Amino acid sequence: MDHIKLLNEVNIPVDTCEYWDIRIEETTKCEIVYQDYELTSCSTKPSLGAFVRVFDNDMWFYSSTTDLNNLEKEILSLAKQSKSLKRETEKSLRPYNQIPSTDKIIKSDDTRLDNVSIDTKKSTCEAYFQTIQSFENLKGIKLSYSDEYKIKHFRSSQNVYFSFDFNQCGVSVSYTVFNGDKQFDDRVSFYGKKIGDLNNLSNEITSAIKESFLFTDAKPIDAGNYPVVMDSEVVGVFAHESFGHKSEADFMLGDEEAKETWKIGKKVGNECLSIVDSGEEYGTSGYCPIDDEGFRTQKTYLIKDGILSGRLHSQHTSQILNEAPTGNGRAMNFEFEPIVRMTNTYVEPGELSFEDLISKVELGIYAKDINHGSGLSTFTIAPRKCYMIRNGKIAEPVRVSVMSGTVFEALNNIEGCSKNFNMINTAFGGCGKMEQWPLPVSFGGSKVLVSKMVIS
Amino acid sequence: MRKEILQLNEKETSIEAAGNKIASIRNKNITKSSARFFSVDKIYSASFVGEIDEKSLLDNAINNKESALEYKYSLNSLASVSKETFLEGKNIEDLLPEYQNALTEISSKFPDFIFSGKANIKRVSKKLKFLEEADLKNSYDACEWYFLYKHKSSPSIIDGFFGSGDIGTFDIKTEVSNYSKFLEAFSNEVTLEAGKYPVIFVDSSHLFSKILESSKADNYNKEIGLFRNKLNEKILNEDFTLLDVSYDTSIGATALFDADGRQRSNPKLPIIKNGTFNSLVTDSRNAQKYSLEPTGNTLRSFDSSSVLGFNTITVEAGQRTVEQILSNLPKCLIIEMAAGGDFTDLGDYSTPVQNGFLMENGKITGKLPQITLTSSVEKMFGSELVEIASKPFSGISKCPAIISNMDVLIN
Repeated sequence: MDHIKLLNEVNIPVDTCEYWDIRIEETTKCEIVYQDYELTSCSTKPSLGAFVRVFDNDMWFYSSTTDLNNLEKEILSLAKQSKSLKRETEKSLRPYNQIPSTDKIIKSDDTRLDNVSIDTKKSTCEAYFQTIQSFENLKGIKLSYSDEYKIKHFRSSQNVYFSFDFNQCGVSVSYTVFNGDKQFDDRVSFYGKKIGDLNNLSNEITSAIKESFLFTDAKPIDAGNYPVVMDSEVVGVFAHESFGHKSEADFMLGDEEAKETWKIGKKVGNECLSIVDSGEEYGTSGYCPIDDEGFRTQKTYLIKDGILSGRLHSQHTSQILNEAPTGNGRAMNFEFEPIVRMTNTYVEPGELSFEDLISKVELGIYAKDINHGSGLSTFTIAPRKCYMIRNGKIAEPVRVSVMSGTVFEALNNIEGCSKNFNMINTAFGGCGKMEQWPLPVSFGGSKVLVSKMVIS
Repeated sequence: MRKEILQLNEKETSIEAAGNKIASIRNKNITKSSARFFSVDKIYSASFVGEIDEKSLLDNAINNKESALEYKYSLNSLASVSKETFLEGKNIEDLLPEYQNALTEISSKFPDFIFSGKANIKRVSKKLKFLEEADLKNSYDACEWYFLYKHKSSPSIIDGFFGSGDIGTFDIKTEVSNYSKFLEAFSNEVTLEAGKYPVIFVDSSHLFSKILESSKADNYNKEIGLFRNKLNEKILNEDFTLLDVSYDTSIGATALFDADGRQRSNPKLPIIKNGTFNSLVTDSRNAQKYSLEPTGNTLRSFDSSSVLGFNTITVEAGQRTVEQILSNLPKCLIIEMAAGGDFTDLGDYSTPVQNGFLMENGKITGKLPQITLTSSVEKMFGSELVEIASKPFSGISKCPAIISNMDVLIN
């Protein structure tokens, strides 16, 4: 079925509604799992569907459907639903005007993962069995493979047309290491844009497992306040959770006071800090050149040199807050409407070396990676591997349950950012917001020293 | 040879509130299907989103040889079953006016707050058809709704939330009315000293993760998990019984049959019984592997392979109501939002609290300051367990309220 042709053939009378658009998504995902070297899951997941939007008299009406032959009918039906719903509207704010355009950004024709055989994908995983089997005292070994190829086609009533594709794959090994009765759960993951990116990773897997064994004897931290050096993965989660979500403009809707609190130009952090969101970078899991409403991505500074510099918008929030769209209206798949979401969120590099950051700490924590994180009034990070810092040097491994803090305090307590820069991409999971999880995103940046965080 | 067709249809209407008004309505009517073909020793499968005939789907599965999985377990016996739990006394169309009225009422009563949220009603139809063997059908109306609120002076995205999820019914008005007293108390932040306090989590489901991890048959037999080698031992408080419930629509449990079509004779499986580690949970594969009885815990979405998982987890109810218990407690912390907490491998627990309330002798006296709670699995469900109530604290969770003493750090 030619989906572009299908969209071109849609013919809707001008007076049907104030705005409409259609997004067709064709996706193939693959998931392979080995538990203790036994193949326990192997599935290919094709889907094809469309999400239809109508804006009329100050409300949005949506429909998700797998019936691609009746897209016109879907729009007319939503418009009819709008007319049947009585409501008092003082002023209907039409969606932010789009500039008519036609874009086709197809980058993965030669490397499409749905064209790679299942046998090749299984061989890619099985190549690591020998590496993992060389370790004793390893249990609960789960080796997972995940990939996705997606192509989207879009048309709006404002004559915006686009097509773009997205291709990603990953391998993850999770395990429990044992030392007598002591144990530690850990994992290591890899990301690629083509299947070949997942080859020749034995050395990295070996290093990761060796480090995990250091943590079986790690003691729990004495709860309290400590300075923390966060590695790129932790920094990325901090940037995403602590500040990124607060930069999503939908939380400001209807809240006049929030507009003042989050006024552009306000100082919110140390001047060494700059946080960016951008979907431009092709090699990342947050790559999104055009959002699901037809707006091109851009490099948006959320914080630049410690100053609040921007926020993320969908078409709807742009119009209500009278600010330009940023290309952040994203949906998890064809079953959902676009809402304000991040893409690649990161802290820009600073001037210091990693050693400089560590040397500034007499007694503190080096947080290397994470299990999960979240951000509300207080942000929290549950780290996986942490080390004590003693007298300016990395010391013994330590078990930390949660690192937390108040967002603005933490932003002001940032004392330095490293020159090293690393983005964390993943083909497993992603960002969750309300009912839409997981959406592929990426995060990372420099390594960062925060002078005080609550550690427990 | 077994031939199986799974068909899942969800017809859904979803209403979104943003900035104190209804912002959008979404309609969805999508059918998702899969087929599995069991040969002597292999499972062949295929899935599809949209309409597809059974024969094409089965042919896709049989031809999908690269993805075949070996299996060694005996196929279970099957019995046809059919249940319907639809709305009684209300219609699907009633959701929009009821949610809209609640939004209008609460936003005018509490003008210092911004309300957003979602109400969602779906008619779920799940059919598991084993060709020439049995037809298993389960259909129900599921309604979930919530309001998020944010005080206008707050720097947070969200300050709190309330709502409910029910099968075959919804009652937004009563739940909103019950929650009003918390919004009234919100602006009064109390002072609290560090120390030990009785605590209720409005939703306690995440607190069971370490126990559940230990109860998976594969973990247990690999000696992984906090309670490894402790089966049949007393590990927690006498009053603590943790249940995996497959089917009881009053608590949102809708697994009338598991992914292999297995139906439990008793839907309640006690994982912990009166403090004793009573049972492991198994799917078909692990039951065979470790010579255990299958417990009806084979889970599978329409497009994935089957895995060992859990149904609806709850605790056995106590005797007294939450109100009776709280009226005798000089202070008790009600924890509404505690995102980001976690357990260490040793079972120690810590979480920051984003929103909570102080109740003194059963009355709400104010909002909690920013605190961190610490405890451990063995303390909160063992030595520091105060009591389990006869009912949940609110509509957010269907699990009876658990009151445990926890250590409070002031942030």
